[in-house]
Amino acid sequence: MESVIKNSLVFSTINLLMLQFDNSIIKQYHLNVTDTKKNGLNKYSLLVLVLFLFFSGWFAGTYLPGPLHGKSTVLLSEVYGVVALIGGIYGLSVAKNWGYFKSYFGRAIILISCGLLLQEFGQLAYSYLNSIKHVELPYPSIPDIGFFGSIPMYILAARYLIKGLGIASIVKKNHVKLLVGVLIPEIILAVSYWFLLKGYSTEGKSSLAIFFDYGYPIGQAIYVSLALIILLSVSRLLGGLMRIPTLLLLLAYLIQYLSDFNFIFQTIHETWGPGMYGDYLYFTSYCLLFYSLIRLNSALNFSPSHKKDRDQGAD
Amino acid sequence: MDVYAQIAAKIIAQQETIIGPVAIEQAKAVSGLKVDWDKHQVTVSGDQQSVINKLVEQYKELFGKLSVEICKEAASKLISQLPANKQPSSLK
Repeated sequence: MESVIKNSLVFSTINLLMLQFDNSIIKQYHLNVTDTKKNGLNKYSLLVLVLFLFFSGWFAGTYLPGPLHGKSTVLLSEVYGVVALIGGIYGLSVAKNWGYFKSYFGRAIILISCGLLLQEFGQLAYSYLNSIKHVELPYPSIPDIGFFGSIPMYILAARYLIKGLGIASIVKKNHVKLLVGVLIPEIILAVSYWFLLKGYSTEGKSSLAIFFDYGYPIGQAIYVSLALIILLSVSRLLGGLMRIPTLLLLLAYLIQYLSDFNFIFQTIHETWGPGMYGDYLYFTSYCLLFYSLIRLNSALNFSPSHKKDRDQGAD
Repeated sequence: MDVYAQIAAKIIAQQETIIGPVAIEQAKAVSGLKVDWDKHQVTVSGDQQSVINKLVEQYKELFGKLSVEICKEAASKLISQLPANKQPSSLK
């Protein structure tokens, strides 16, 4: 009798342990799934990854000699902007989760999305004029509605991020940050002037061309300065689920600035060509902007209010 | 509304201007906090200091310390109405 009781005790203990083991595996599985989603590896992230790899391969391929080399390069410069188009549509579609214009982040997301769509408009208009109408350098022209139009969008978006993240009160409290906030725009403007406008002559140029020649570097200097001010003001305070997406967004701003800066620089020195590294810089900034929008939205979906549902799923 | 409810309402309103409707969802998930945002009514029950701390903690998951600073800023005028020993630790 005693051995039967002992055996049944051992049996039930093993059973209990196995059950616990099974439960822990199931829990682990659910945690893995939620972690994967939390890290933004959803279907949209996968789409960005596929587009990034596909176009990166194509960009790399343009450096290889072949009979289709020229046509392939031109075609690439005409189609990679599709990333900006999809990113812009995605951003507008998820802005609802942020209350559209009712929240600072909602406004920023809408404006960034509009910026992406305007960039794609600029790309398509440029391609149309260049490839179909055979205009060698359509500037100033219709594409500038898109390219230049995206600048105020990015500036306003950065302004709303500054408001949303409470940068003004952080900067006011910290004199070093205040000094940095004042110095950054001046340094960026000085760099832009030195590389892009020094020795600039207005001779033989239309007033629209002069406006754009000054407007592009100044506008770009403003949005990148705002991004840098955010980055330097909150990088230590910023944490939680929004840390990585916000930093990615700021990085995308910096790469967008580099792309614009390089475009003007190459245009001045007459070294700009379709499908070259300049276009790859633009492509990278579109991918990053798109991906940061995905990560921002994923972070919102995995905010604490949704945590209970996840934890219940895991249990 | 008592001071704690006003503090909670201020924090929720401030977070709503930043992240939108999710701010209200998050507040509703805090135990001890009853939110009727259509009427902008908030009720804090139980250990009120602890409920406010939980609310701040909830937002902290999104932006980290930055959220705490934003909550402090939002509640700064109301918090001074409470004696030091009644102030929620997260907002000190």
